[in-house]
Amino acid sequence: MNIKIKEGISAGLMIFVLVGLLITGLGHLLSPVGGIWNSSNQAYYPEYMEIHDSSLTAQVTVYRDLMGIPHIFVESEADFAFAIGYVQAQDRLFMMDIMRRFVKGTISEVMGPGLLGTDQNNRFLGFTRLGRAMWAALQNHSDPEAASIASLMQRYCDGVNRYIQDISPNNLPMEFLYLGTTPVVYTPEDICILAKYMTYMLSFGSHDLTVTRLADGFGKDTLFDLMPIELFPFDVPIIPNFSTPADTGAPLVKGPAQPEEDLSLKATMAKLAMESSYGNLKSWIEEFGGCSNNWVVNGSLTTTGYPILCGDPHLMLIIPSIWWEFHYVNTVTGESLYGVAFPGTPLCEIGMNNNIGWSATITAIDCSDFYVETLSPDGSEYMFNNSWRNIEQVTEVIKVKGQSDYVMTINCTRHDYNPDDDFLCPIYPGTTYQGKAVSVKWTGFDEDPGIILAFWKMTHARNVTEFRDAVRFYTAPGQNFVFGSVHGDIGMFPTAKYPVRNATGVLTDSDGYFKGILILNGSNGEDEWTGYIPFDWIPQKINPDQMYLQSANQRTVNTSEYTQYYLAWQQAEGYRGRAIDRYLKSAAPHSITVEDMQRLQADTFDVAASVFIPELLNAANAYYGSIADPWLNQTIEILTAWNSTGTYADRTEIAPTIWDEFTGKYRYEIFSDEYADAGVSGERYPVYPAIEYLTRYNKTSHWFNDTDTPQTENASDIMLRALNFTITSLRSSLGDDMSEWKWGSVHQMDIQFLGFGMDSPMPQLNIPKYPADGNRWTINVAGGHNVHSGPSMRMVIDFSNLARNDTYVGYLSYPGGQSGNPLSPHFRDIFELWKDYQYHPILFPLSIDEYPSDYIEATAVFMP
Amino acid sequence: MSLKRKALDSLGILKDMLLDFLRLSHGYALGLISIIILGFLFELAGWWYLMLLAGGLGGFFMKKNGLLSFVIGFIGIALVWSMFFIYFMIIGPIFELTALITSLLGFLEAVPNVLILITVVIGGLLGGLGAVNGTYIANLIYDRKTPSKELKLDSKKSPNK
Repeated sequence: MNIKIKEGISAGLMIFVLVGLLITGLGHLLSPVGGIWNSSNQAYYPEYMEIHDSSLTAQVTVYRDLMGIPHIFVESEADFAFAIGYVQAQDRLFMMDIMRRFVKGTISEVMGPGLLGTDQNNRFLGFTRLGRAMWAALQNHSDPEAASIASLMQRYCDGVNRYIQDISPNNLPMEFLYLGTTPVVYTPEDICILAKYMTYMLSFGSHDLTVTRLADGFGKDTLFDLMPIELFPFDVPIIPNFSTPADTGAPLVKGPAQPEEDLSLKATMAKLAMESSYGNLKSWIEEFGGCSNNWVVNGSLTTTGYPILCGDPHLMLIIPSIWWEFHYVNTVTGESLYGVAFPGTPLCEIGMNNNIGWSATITAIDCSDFYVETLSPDGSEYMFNNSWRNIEQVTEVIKVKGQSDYVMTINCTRHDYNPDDDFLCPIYPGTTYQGKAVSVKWTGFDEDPGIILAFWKMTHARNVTEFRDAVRFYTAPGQNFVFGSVHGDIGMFPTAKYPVRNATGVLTDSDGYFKGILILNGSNGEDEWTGYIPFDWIPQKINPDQMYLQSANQRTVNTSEYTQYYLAWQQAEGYRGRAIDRYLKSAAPHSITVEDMQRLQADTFDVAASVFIPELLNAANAYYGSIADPWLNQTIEILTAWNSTGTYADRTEIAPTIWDEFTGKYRYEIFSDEYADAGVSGERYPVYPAIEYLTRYNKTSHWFNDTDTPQTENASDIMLRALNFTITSLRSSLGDDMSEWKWGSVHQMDIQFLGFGMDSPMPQLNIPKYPADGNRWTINVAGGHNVHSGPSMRMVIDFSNLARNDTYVGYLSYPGGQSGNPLSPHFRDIFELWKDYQYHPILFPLSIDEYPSDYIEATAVFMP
Repeated sequence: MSLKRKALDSLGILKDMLLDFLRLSHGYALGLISIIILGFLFELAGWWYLMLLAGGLGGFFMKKNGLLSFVIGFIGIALVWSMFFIYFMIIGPIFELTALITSLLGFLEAVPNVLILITVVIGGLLGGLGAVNGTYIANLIYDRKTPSKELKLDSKKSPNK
């Protein structure tokens, strides 16, 4: 072969291979240094590592315990913030980065057009804008501690960024390489943006739109007869025995009610909003029936004489977990803090310090309203308080992988009747109708950085008075903060900024609806927010006579005792709260142990089933054996046995499957005909307590009558019909072999890798589905058939141990592990405990000398 | 040509290559050492594409045939990358990683560790191609005799010796 040809072929081949490796990315992916191999190289914490950074003021020692949980010993809070940023990023950098992309609406830039809708929604609500405003507000806040808190947030980001610097460009986790992205500088704005997103997830609600449709379809009396604003007789509210505070707050002037505009027009606007092309109206709280439990018992009920506090927030179940544990000790002041944070934030959302502990459940108090806006003919203006204003526009440009940029323009109004509410209210696209359009106002739009101030102050509180002063700052999302202390105090604070809509001087419209229940008038000024419920008027309780406090997102307070303000119409159904209350109120003095509380967190007793199954059996037993239907007979036998042993929704039982199917069929059989007659088919059916009330107290209610039949049905007829349909349905879907009907066969835990609001980017890393206990009404909650949400963490604090300065002060577990690295032994080690309702002890040494040396897996030393 | 003769010729070529490699004047040993050192340093910096340069610079020292340069370049970088992987096996669960990656890619799931072999081969390919091109460039610059002619001459001469 001619030499020139050989050289040409050789050079051409070289270029071909190089270009091929560059274009496919294989060269970078497979390179021993800088490639995917990093993830296995970083699977284990270095036994000893030193980080030198001139910004530190003193040495920081971090011990990783056998679960990988960092115990950070520092001399100043600023150094702590830096260190926690570093070690949190070491564990969860990819999760932090991808969540930031998700929340900021830049996820389709790396994952393609399939997630453009998510980006549109998150740009529409504007978490980036909100977070930026919140950070600016924090820096300018008048609170004397605001500046130092802002400085600590910056130090946290410095720690994250130092870690990014240390691993860039050659030691990035493989997930970055897989998605072809790199981490960018972390800023305090990002913390605020994440805080805003969590606020959205836990407080945004679109009930008003549904209720408007139902009110138009049924009329007020019928609707409120079915779902009254008052409590049902069996409801157990969170705050027992509300007492009017000494400070009566701003008295409401009971003026004449104003005439309302056409309800049918409002209902049409509500429907348009629900069908809006983007701007997801359903937050996680609505999608999954968002819920959590917490409770605290006084020392008079415990064997130790000290309180025990329990918390299991029910959030999305994903891996890596949404929680990340840490512990820090200030070796100078002696202050110590243990708790969990959302990755991407330095805030201890749930935890304890030397003196106190707390947990949280969402209040579901109404914090969002929808306004029917009146637009000018050309759409450039809107009417506010009877005068015209210019529509404000926000333009967002979304980069989409493989496509040209998507540009969206968001029209906004301002409802700043109360000058503090000077923020934008976006108008849902596609809702323009007869010169009207629908906008949304939500407390999360407020720039108030109270959530950050409150959490920081809570972590430093030393007693119930200081804790109460801390939660006073809290803004959103509404949380029932349960409290306990070594001093023996217990408390419950359902705190947030809750709007008051009384621009006309009354809380109700002319039809008697509380303003805030229905879609509101945005133009005449009568439905505007005038302020927020004064803190003292938010129902709360310290050291109640009943010696315990519990919350499970149910009704906050008995509305017959609390008439000053409207709180909420729809909250959690209350069955979990009743289950907790059922146990605690029957506890003998000085009988409760930590182990009892752990068992209660895993409890699967279904209060709803315990009420309905006897009713169902009463109705069905009349037919037992009298008809030649072996399936009905066998079903009755199974339900009878279940009822006699306690209605526990365990995965090995068949009865929970029948019960679960029955609940849907029963509700449908009661309401589908009336909903169709009212023209509101497809709208949300009433909550189950409404059905319980009818079933127990009004068996001949008109709701039970099937309007499509000539005869008149009652509750028993409909229950029996629903049971027959249940059997038919289960035979069709699960077959005739009843052994296949076990609850665990149809009800499975489905924990996905980073499956927060989107399909998992790497489904191979999902935890394989497995049979799950519980259902949506049990304390050990597990709603749906594929369980994506539930106890995202279980914690039990024993204040007797805390009071004695024991090294171990409680128990904790969550579905995941500290590390986000799929190859780390700490990727899912805590999940292995959690799935069996076990815990790891909370290691809480108060000094570095007290740290048990056989509990050190790795050491990191930060030096100035 | 009989099969036996072909085999003898091949053995002759291999023998010549081995002798060429051992002759300091031909620069192959020096080239290999250069490739290993440069390849290691470049890879340590994460510059995987510079394996071509490491091979090329090593190939520059090699004065005879391109095939031998390729083989030496291939072996040099493959050795360097293999060393990295031996180290990775010591410090982390690399076989779990290959299982994960192949399942993510939906490729080689039955034999996930072949991914390491493929990676080493890719590294070797870069080193080999760099080396052969380095040798050719050196030949052009110094107007050295074409390696192919020398190879043919050597092959013909050897049976008569």
